[in-house]
Amino acid sequence: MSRQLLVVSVAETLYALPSELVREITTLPSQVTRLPGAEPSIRGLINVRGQLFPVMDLCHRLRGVPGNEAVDVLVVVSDGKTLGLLVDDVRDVIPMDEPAASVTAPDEADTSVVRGVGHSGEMVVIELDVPKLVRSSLA
Amino acid sequence: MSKYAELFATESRDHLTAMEHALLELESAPADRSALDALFRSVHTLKGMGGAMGYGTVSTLSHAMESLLDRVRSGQESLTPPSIETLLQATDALASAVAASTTGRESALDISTLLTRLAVPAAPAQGTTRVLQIVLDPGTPLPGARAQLIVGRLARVAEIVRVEPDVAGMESAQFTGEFTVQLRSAEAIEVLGDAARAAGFVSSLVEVVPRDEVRQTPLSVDATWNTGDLQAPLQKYVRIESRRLDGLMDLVGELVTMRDRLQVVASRHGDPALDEAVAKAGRLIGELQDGVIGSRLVPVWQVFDRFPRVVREAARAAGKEAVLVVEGREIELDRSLLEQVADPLVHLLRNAVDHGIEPADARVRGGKAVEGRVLLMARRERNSVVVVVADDGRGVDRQRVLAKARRLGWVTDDTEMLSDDEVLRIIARPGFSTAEQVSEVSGRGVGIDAVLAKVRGLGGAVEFSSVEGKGTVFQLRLPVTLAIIPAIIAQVGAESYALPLTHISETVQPAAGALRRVQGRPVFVLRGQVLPLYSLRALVGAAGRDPEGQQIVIVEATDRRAAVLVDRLVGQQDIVVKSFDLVRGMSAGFSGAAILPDGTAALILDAGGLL
Amino acid sequence: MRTMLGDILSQAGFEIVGEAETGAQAVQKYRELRPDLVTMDIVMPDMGGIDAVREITQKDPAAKVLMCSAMGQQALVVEAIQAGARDFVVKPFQPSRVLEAVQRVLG
Repeated sequence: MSRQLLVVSVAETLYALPSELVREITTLPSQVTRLPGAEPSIRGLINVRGQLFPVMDLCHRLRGVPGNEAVDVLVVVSDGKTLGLLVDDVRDVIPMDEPAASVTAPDEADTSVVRGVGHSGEMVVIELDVPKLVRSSLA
Repeated sequence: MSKYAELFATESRDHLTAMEHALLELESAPADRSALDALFRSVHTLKGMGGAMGYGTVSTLSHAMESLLDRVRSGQESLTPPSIETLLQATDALASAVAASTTGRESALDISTLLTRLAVPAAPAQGTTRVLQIVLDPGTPLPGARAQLIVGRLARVAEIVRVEPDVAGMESAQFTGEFTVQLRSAEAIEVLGDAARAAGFVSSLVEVVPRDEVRQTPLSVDATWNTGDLQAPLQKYVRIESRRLDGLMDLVGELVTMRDRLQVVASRHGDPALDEAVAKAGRLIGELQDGVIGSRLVPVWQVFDRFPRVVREAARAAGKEAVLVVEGREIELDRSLLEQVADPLVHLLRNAVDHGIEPADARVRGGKAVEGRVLLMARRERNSVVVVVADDGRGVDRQRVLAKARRLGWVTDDTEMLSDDEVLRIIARPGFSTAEQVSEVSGRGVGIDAVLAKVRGLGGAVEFSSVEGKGTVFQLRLPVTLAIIPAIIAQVGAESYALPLTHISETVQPAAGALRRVQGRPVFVLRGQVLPLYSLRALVGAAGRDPEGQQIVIVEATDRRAAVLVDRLVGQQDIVVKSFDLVRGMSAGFSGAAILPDGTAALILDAGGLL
Repeated sequence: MRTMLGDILSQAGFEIVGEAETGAQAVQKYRELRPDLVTMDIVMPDMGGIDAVREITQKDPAAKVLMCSAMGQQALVVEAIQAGARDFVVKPFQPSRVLEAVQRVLG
């Protein structure tokens, strides 16, 4: 059975995340509270309807450069922890089979949080390992 | 009943309801012109209708009411609580008259007393106690001190009987700026109002009728209905699922944030009507908050009463004799906070028996009672509740703690004496134990660190003192409630941080020369005392250089104090503590975040962790 | 701090007749100068503002003393009021607030 994946673009590359882990999609508020000592990919803390959670710049995390154009925030929940992922654009929800186990994405600065590369029709997307991404960032 | 009589009855009922509403509004805001006009219109219409129907009592009574309202509208007389009370009684009588008229019995009603009272302006009787309800402007600095000034001004024109809340209540951070003054004076309300307003920051001042006084005034009309029979004895307590209270608390927390935000937005418009509505809503939200917090409070005995057994069993396992004495069982704490502090308390009690209380023979040799005594006491102090765990045992053996700390390399070799504070810091380090044998009861002596972490996590502080041969005392200072705490908002650059008031002793504008360096470390000299100085800018790694006119916040926890240098202090407010999932690598020293009125999040600086 | 308050007051047309560094000096200067208004820091070296207010108002019940306090010093301010202070202003000073307080005290 194929799964539902949410496709987003980050620095002109398509990434996919299991849609059941995405609680909502919101836009980056104008006010972000800096978190002292956090790694540079963490933009800071945002307030969405009274709930606070940290936001990670996915471009910074995956490519090592800040994603200045990014405004959409995917709110993902894994292991009961909430993290916002800043992306350029939310594209589509697609059905997709299990990704190929081997990962060949040479221009990725960080492949440790990539689960594999998959296809949906013509489209090639890189599936992210969301639980690992959350674990690697949140204490 | 004729068709007209029926129509009259229906229409008058609407007017009577409108009159009652208008009167109740006037009771809280006697100067409300629109309520006065609405009242006048209804009375006037009823007078006309009663006259047209030939109902003498209705038209006479409404005519008398109209005359009084005329005097008020033309400024000859002001609406006082007694006159509002008379109008309310007249409205009730009018309702009776309407009901009686439609059945042809209206002449049976005696309205003579009411007519007299409506005709004569009511003067406050000399020597009777009057009650003023005063509300300060939102955001009044040091509202408690301002309220004291207002009471002082009133004391020049009246004899003050009682002020509520009292001085301590006004100084508390929970003081909302709303207070009542009971006084004796024959002065007109305007005179009293002017006197109070001269002290500044008065948002509203109304005279209210003391509740019991209202009841004492008998109705001169024999009421045609009686609600007394409908009143069944009410249940005094209702069971509520705690989850619902938690949900309410969350909602109130958001409402408090929203209130502050609303005030910020409203202040940009400069519309007095909007400001007033927002201020009113703000006060109601404050009351709601107090109510919800109050409904979550439970007496500490609900947890404390389990502890005598804990102590007895610990004593039996250690082969000692000990009894637990509990004091302040009735002191109230937030339910979830009380639950969370239970484990740390069990740990301290077991420690007291295990490490504090001596075996019976040793106690006898030391001239003590055979039975060891462990005291568990709760007491209210300002905005916090202090829980004391004390024993009359052997006290901490400082030499042994020192020796062990030296062995572990935690103190320098030349350290000779340990203060209470240092002892606590050492025994609170994970892995420290002076117990000769690992005891089954208090484990490995670990746990003081867990106790400290837990209490600090709840926004509290732990104090410790011990006298060798006499005993050991732990004091846990806890906030009364978890979710909403008063804090000072400080800024560095454009960033805001919240500093809980529980840990702040004062704020200071540093004088030249008060910032120094001692042995290479920055210090602040406060009234001759040298305190370590931290820069909030450095603590949070914020960019930018220190500007002119920085301020200093003195934070205290346990018996230690430190000075924190900030760029600006922007005010004091109740903050709603929100937790969030911590990010790896984040600086320690922050215990959650608060949402500020503009919707942004501010990190809460944990003074306990800092010290 | 004294100069900043002094600036606000002199710009509003008040004449500063004297300044004191300590509480004892304030009491002494008050006796000599009999000013219309005294502004006093709550916390001062030596005797402190509250004791100074108490001493000044005991000798001259008509003395008009305006306390200057920081946030978080509410208990001290209340004590000062009980000792005879007529009003107070809270740091950081806003000129309008200071002048309003002065008007209330003098008016």
